[in-house]
Amino acid sequence: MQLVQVIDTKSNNLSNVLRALDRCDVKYQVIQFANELVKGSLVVLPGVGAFGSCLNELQVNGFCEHLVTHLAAGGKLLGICVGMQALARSSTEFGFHTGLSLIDAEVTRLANSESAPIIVPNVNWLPLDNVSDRFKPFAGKAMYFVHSYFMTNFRDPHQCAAIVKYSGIDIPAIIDSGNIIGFQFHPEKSGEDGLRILRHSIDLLRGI
Amino acid sequence: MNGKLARVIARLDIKAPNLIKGIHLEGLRVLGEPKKFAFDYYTQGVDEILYMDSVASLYQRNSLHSLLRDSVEEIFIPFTVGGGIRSLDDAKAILKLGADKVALNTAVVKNVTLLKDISAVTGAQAIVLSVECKKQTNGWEVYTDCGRERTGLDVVDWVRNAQQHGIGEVLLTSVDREGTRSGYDLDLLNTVSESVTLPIIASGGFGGLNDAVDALNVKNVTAIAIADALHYKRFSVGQIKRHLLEHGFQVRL
Repeated sequence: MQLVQVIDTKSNNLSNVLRALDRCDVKYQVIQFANELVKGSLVVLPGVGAFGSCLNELQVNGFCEHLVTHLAAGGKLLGICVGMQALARSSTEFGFHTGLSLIDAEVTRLANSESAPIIVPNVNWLPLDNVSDRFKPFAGKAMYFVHSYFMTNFRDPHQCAAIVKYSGIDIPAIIDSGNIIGFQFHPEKSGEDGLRILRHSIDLLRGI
Repeated sequence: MNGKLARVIARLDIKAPNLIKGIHLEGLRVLGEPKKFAFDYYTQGVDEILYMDSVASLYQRNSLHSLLRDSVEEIFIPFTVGGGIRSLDDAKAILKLGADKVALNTAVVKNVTLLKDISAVTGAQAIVLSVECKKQTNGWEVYTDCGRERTGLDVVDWVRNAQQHGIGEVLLTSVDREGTRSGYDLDLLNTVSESVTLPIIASGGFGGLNDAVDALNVKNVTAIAIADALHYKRFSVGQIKRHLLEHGFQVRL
């Protein structure tokens, strides 16, 4: 069985993600530094808070450099919330930041214009829409979102495996590029459906 | 209002180790073990749990740690925890145990820059500004320490000021309506809604199903907090959500 390694990015949701994995009967180890990566492992990247501080944590501990080679050598990656956004090319949260560039897309703020006022942050349970075949069992299931930034401008729009609709914006909710899956929502806080989609994604990445 | 998103939050006021319920945040009655109530609401499909330590500010202590630690083992939805959080370290400790957000009132009224200190580390989405107010001749005055202490602050001035320091949501409690079942204070909700673009959680006064509709029809009110109507099983979460659905709201069922 493919080893699961959870990166400790000093994120507040780490313990919640670990509890959810326990509940899904997924065994894992927590790692802090890139030199702990085991070839071919399934890496989970949780994240809450600001993009810049998440990337900084990854940079300092060597992950920015090593995750790319890890994936090229058969590794897998599951990003959650900011951990998904970190996969993008860049973000404009608190200044311009370069991301891991594993997904060719950008992270930008949920716009609040005069013509279309939006309540930000988006703190809501939203049903998954435009769901890809790999995530079909979760079409229409509501997941818990809390964020002010979202991923957009995909070079390959097919990498977006589900969206949610919020104030006229299509927010990518799941990204899927085969060996990488990302959730904008918090599966660890989305009730029983959240636990199921977490387990489902780990099975998908493991090729089960 | 068609298709507006609405969340239903269970509010559990705690005087450790018990769930309590009062009127106007006072006159406390012991109801039982909070985790059992919270788990029941989780299985009923509630969207979030709010634990509020009702005596923490008074006694300068924080007693919800063990309750929170136990609760997050079984309940996989967002938790907001408030009462007695006085510093960045207090907030970090609560979040680390598994809460998603901290609700701040007394400590940030005393020192508003604490909001900036906490949000810089946790992100603004992890901070709920808890505002307890009582109606005055002109507007509403902000109270602290569970509605016991006056501050002289006007609610609109205070919320506007706090918004600039980094908050994700506003929990707006009408002390006048709290525990009275006479409906949310719609004037208060409308007044604050006009002055911020943040999500507002209406709290205090839920008596019947139409109170939920009325509160959620206010522009920036995206959630309602319900306490004794759930605790005394006058309504189930499903009943409230189905009623909202029938009135055009988008809810998670």
